[in-house]
Amino acid sequence: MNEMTGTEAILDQRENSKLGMWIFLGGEVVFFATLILAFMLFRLRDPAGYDGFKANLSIPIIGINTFILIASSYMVVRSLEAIREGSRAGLRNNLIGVIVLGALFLGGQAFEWITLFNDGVSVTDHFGTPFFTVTGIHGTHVLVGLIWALIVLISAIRGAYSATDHRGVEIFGLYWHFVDVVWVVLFTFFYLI
Amino acid sequence: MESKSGHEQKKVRTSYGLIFILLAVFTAIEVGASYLPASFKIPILLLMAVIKASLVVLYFMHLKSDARLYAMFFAVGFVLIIPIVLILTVVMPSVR
Repeated sequence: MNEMTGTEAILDQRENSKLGMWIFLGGEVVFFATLILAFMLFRLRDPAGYDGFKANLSIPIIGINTFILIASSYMVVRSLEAIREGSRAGLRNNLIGVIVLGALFLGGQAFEWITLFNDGVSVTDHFGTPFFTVTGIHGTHVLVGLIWALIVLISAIRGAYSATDHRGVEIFGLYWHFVDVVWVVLFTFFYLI
Repeated sequence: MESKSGHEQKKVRTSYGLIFILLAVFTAIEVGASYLPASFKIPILLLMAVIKASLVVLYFMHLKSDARLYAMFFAVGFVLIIPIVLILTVVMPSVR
């Protein structure tokens, strides 16, 4: 009886960590929604001004960057499926892919920022402030995700995960996919519309 | 512990692959649609963004098959957006 209670407690704790991540992501929804909403209000007050700012943005390049982030999300689900099937090599290889693609995304964003600065766009401009703030905060989330992916990879190499114990990979995956979802929305409101 | 047969595993992998392809195709459509006049592109782009975000949340984040409790807590975030919208657009007239 006591043993059973102990087992249930461990399982509950594992579920709690996943629930904790979902609660955190709910908070992130509010955070990013507020930023995006504030940006949209800026835009609505000066639509012509934003059209001028938007002329500096390269949609095809950011489209490729978006594809890179989506591909990284796909590799995250592949890594989770791999370890669920007991394949540590599959987990490791897909996580390496996630890290490479995440780094490529950040490189693409750095390239975009440098190009904008060279074109005379500043963080103190009317639209430069919200643009660099929101894309910068998102980029910071990607960077945090990259560091997290590296930690998960090192843990995987050390044999921390198995077919029966892969909660760490799953929780990292939730975070990474959410960052992907945020980018889907940012891509629409900042670049496409 | 979820143990899946080889057939089920293959099916899961195929569905993830299909979703990835859909997301990539929708992204390409979005880039193309962004060059259309505003009256055409805005509804298309908003619809695409909703579909893409939903696909990632429901399938890649497993919200479709996971416990409803997770979805409830995640949904709280969306509910809390409503007062923020009201504050920014109604209560604070200077930003209207």
